[in-house]
Amino acid sequence: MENRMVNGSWVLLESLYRLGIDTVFGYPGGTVIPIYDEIYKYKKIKHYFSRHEQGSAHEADGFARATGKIGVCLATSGPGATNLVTGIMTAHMDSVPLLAITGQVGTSSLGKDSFQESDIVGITVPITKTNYLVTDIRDLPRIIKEAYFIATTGRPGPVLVDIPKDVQNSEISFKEFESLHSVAIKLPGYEPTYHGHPRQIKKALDAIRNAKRPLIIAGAGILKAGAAKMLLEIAERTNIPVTTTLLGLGVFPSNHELSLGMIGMHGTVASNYATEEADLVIAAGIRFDDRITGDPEKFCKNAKIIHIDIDPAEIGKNKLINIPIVGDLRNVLFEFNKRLDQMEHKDWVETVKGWKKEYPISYGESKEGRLMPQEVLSKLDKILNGNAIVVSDVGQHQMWTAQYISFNKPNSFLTSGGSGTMGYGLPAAIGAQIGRPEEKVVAIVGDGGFQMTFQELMLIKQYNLPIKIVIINNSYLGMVRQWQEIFNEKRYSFVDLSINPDFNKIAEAYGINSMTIDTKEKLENELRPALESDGAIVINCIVEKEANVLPMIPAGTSVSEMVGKRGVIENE
Amino acid sequence: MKMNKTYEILIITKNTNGIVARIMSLFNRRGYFVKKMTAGMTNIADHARLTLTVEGDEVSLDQIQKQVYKIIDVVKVKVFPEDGVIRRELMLIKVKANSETRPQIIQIADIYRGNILDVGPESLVISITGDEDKLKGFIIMMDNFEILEIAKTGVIAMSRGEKM
Repeated sequence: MENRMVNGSWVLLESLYRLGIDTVFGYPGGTVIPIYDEIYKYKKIKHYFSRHEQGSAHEADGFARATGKIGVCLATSGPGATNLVTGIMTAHMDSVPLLAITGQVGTSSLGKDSFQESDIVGITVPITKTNYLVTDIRDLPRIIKEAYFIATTGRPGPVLVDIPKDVQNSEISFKEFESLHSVAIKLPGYEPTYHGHPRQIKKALDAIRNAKRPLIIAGAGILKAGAAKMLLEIAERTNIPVTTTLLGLGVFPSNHELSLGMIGMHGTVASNYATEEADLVIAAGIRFDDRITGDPEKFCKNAKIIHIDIDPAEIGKNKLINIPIVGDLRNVLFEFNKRLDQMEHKDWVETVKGWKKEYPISYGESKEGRLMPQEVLSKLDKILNGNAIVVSDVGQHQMWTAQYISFNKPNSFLTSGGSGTMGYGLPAAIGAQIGRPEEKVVAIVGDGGFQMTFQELMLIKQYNLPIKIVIINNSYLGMVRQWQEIFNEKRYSFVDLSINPDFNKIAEAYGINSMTIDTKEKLENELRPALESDGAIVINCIVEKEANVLPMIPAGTSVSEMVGKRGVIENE
Repeated sequence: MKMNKTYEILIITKNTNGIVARIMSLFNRRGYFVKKMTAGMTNIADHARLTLTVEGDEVSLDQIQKQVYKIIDVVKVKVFPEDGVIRRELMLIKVKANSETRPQIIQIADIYRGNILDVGPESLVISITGDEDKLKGFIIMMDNFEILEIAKTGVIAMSRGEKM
């Protein structure tokens, strides 16, 4: 037994399994045949068969975001590997732990423009935390352990491991594998800072104690650190209002009286007003993305800023910071929680509540007597009542989802924020459902983005996943149309999707139930039973074509330029 | 107004495959202009020492240091201060020379503590070591003759005293 030989493909699978990985999303091809041959025999890892490698990457991403574990995808060399790229970039922008494994042509064929050769390591340098080309089976146990460690610690992110076919086939003894596997990893250049500097923490606490109008901006960093509960305790004890970023939704209960909802371009009036009026901003686990700050010079212009993040490179990248704290949010918020006493901020909280009351998220009426998309989302929110994992695609429906669905639990909203990847929604929902089979998973997609990856519907049938897919179908690439309406005098250039496939027939072709909701009656009577049904269903919601996402702070401007505070664009 | 200055950044990194490309592409895509770059082995086994001469303002300099440090194999990043640092660059310069100009060129090279590496019927190859100003000065002097070729290494730098 000890002297039996094992090959590189087995070493890969065994190394993954020993790291607790039992789920892989992939697509076979020439240079991963040895790995697939081993998967066929190796029973401890379940492989899900995507229908496109981009699907594999997003499925692994959705799995990771929903479970908090690493997501793993597998593809062949050349086009297989490049098809992963969009998914890797998506995970990179949103700091999702992802392990991408690609096959590569044999080491002797490298650099010769061989069939299906691509320099995927070179291609993915800017969109991975790190990546590896494995040239010797003896490096494989160490590299897989390092890749996992790097992807999941510090600021999480994707790591790619490229394995030539001959390395997959080459053999070492089981004994040698064990000895290689037992070597502890050593990464002197990689030492994330987990504990905030005590002096910085003290400065921050003093600033918080002295602030009259403090505001917490809570980002996905808190979710990743598992510190949502501490945030709630701190906010409640100190009476500091909380706004969240798009990716931070779920970190603080939407229905909480201190919650201001989402910040940024399509954030609530209250959130954005609060950034203007606050004298102290506690930015926790956010990266001052331009969709949040608008003009960074004017953002939070009256406030001192405390910025807490595990990635030192985020400090001062987009915005000058008064009190930076590099560290794990869990540790830093633990210190905050321990040392902050009861505070009131009565006037400030009243002011903020006044804005909330005066400017709730709202919308106008349909010009054509159609359903308003916001109406659909609002109804969906009532039915789901916070008891679902909601996955959105990218576009107007994504913003409406963020505005109208209440997220009261961490990791209950999955969306492509940083990269804005259309086509993310469906495969990510598949990954989420596979990762958390006990939860209801709802994918909210637009009629545009859905068409980018709907081949993945096959997995819903194949693996019997009870995902509810809600298409917000306005026959437009709505977000681009909205920009063209507002900034290009309604020159609607290539956004018209009135020639769309029949989505019900597409569902049928994949063996999935479907229905259409196009009236208030149907919305009232048919949405709930559809969402509460057992199996998967595609719910095609035909909505007003030219609804806008409001309020809106045009890109690069500031709160004073906000339009549509009351849900319609005022005539100026 | 941002004040752009020239800085030398020291990077110590594990000498893995493609590491220089990785570092250079980071500078490129983050919009930093690398004027010069030297790379070589160092006294730590399997590690390389790079010195990059970059142009930028202080804020962006701080940012790029942190970005470089995010490269897993990089173990140290530092910006050299203006003072207390030895900076050297090596230049090979080929100058047109005949029996009349040769002694003049050799004389100037002597003043600059240059070495004559090759003497041909129509040319001289001289090596000069020094900081940027010294090399510049020598080039100006040689312009009076005819410069045929220049090869420079880029700057290597080291702090004075015990610390790195």
